[in-house]
Amino acid sequence: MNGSVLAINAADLWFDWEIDTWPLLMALLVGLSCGLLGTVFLVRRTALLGDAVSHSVLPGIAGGLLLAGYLVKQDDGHVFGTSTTMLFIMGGALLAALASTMLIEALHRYSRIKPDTALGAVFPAFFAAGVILIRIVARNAHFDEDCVFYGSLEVIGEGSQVLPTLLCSILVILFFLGFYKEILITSFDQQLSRSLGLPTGLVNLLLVSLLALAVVVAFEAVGAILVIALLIIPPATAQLLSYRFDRVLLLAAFFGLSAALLGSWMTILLETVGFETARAPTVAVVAGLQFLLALTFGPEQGLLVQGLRKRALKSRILEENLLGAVYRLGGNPPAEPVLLEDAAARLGYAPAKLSSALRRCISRGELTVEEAAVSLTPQGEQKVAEIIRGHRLWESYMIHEMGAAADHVHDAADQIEHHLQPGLVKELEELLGNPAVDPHGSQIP
Amino acid sequence: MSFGEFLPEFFSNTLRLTGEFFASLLGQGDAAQATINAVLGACLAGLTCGSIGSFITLRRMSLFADMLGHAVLPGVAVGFILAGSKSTPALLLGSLAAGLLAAALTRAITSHSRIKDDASLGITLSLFYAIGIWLLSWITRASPELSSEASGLNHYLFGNPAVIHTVDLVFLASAAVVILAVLTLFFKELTASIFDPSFTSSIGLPQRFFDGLLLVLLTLVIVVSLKILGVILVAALLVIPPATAYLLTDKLQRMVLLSATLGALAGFGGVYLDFVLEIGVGPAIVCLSFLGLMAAFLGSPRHGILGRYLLHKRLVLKTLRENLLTSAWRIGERGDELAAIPISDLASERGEPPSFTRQLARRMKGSGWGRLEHENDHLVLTASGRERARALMRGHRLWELFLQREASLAPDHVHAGAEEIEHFLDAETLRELEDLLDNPETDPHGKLIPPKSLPGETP
Repeated sequence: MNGSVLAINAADLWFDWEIDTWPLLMALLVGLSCGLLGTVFLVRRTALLGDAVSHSVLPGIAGGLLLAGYLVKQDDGHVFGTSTTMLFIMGGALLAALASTMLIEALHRYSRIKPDTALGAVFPAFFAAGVILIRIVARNAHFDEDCVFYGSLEVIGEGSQVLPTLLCSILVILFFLGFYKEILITSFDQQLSRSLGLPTGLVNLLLVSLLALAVVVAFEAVGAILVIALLIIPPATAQLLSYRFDRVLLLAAFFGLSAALLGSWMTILLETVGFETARAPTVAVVAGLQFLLALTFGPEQGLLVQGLRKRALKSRILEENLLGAVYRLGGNPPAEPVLLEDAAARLGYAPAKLSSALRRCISRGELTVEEAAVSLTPQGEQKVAEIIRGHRLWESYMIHEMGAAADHVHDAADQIEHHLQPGLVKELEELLGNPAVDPHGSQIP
Repeated sequence: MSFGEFLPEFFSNTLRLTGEFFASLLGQGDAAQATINAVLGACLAGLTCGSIGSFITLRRMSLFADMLGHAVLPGVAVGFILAGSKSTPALLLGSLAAGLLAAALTRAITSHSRIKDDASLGITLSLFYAIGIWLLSWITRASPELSSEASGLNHYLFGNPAVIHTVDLVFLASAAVVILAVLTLFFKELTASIFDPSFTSSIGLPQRFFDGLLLVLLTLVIVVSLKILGVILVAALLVIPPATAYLLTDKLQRMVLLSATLGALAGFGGVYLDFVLEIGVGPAIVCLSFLGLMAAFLGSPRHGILGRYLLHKRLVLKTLRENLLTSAWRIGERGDELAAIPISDLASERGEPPSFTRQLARRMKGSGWGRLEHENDHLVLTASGRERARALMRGHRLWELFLQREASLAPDHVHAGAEEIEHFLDAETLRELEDLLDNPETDPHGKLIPPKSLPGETP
């Protein structure tokens, strides 16, 4: 901070493997398993169950810690202490997660309380109970309250602390490899999976248990709440980029991993420039940035692409309207040149608005300009004839098949003429028996 | 310390602290003022959250409220960084802005992508929360001035009654006044917009305006309650008391009043529990309210598990007793005296062993329709029992006739339906049946339909 920018050592910009290996591995493992599990909950439209479980494991963790404190008199200075303590914590968390999901289910099944209210009532209550228990634990044992919120990726100093997370990730991967078909079918069609005799209930139970497990092992690393970010955001990012379940799954794992890597790296970079932050929330923020990037720049569903597509459609409609106006004003062949002002007046636009459309039509060779008057080239004439043919066929269709009045069909046809596909026009022709004139008595080109 | 020593000490401590708590509510001085402030703040927050929460839960915005609660955190952090101190207005403005921004982002994600409502709530919640925690983690590591000033900013996570100053109370109270005034003023419109949005727009009320109004009030109440409950738990007070009230009443007006009262009570109880046990005000408030919800879930007279179980039991008992009455009536029809029916006759009419019938007949006790007499060998009906039996049989046989004539069922298929419905026919339906069937005298099996009232007895 005090030194000049030039004094920054290049080594400060990259991981210091002596310190950073285990924290990075931890973050990567959490990102991977949360990304995979979160995808399943996201496509099942129970994304907030991850939210609920991550809040409600807290009393289980604290209860396990409290119980272990009485039974196992050992304290080696880590948040979770010995491996026996870890077992108590796991058991407690699993129990709390299952109890909260069952309570949510019971509340809305056996009373008039709606599911969302049940969810919103149960998990804060579990969380509050957890906080109270933790306060009690903290009086008796070493427990860092802040780790609930900030996580403590930085203090992970040896491989043994990563071991539970590693085991959990392996379990998650094995689960996905072993039960891929069951997960896929139960996620999209519970009825089909039941009629196929798949163990739907078992898969659901395993999923919730694995979720609880993943949340618990992630707890020490990223804190109770930030794990939601890793459970929901990378899968949602993946969903913005693909429609296929297997690809979404792989992409979600990838985004979980990349958020962990980039987030950890960003913390180091930020620290070098004097902006010191905790590592876990940085990972979550990076996951959020990835999502926002995908939301904006996604190749198929991105906001940018959507906007461009909308603009392209708008200018195409404008061009086609211009061609149509020139055609209609020009009269029957041989057509006379039309003033741009007249065309604009017919369409109800200011002439200036048409100038760029005119330029594009000229560059495509559909219109020519002579002495401020516009006329169609043969190529333009063919294009406009097709559009007007669609327009007039549609008018006929509306009158003959839908029973619309002759003076009510024009506006609808005006809208649809830009969207008629050749296949549809052919069907209209066959249906109407290739009519020569439209309902207003105009010729169908 | 063994459990035997721990318990008495615990109780004496609790008693002493309870005394201190109430003494400080009436006392003077800084410590007493802090307690009074905490109680006032918690009660006000509970009152406001409870009343607006009713509308929020009914509008299915519970999880939205939860999202907003988490999402105001970066606003707190940014407000702090910009103001350089924990000045209340700066933090409030920051969190208000963050809440509205989060609401806008949630809507933008759902309307512009294929991400569903719940997932987009989760995304906004975790993203905003993460940014908030990220900023806080920077604040606590930043320059010494900033981080020493920031101590206690952590309390926005859980809330802390010790930091409730008069200025916070002023904000809470004014927010409460605004919110309660708006709720009273627009009660009818909000009710309509909650239960029937399409009706609201059809009578020309702008649905979007009321949704927006709810959103702004919701953000406001979250922001001013933050210091007491903290970001994670604030939504609980918006959801749990209304859900409890929802189980206890069917009228919106009563639900709002009840849930406001429950919220305020939980606030008071939470501060008290924290004073005595030092478990944190926010968690204590939430746990108390949740206990209330569980109590209502189990014990609510109409919507609770116990209430519905008792109702079911009552119905079963009533059906059982009424079936005995109709059996007795059938025996009486054959010319015997209806006053005292031998259990053996009743058993053979019903096709059961007499000992079983006697057990059933014991349960007539307390019904006012009849009881076992003559050494438990006869069922004696009272006048009201005979009257009820007549009404049941009349309903039964009229229904049979109705099924045969109007639903074209065969005479031997009508008994089962009538057997079930006889317990539920009310006077109105009976009168309609009589009119429809033209006051008939015999049923499809040729049996006499009992008259409207027994001869010699007033109907």
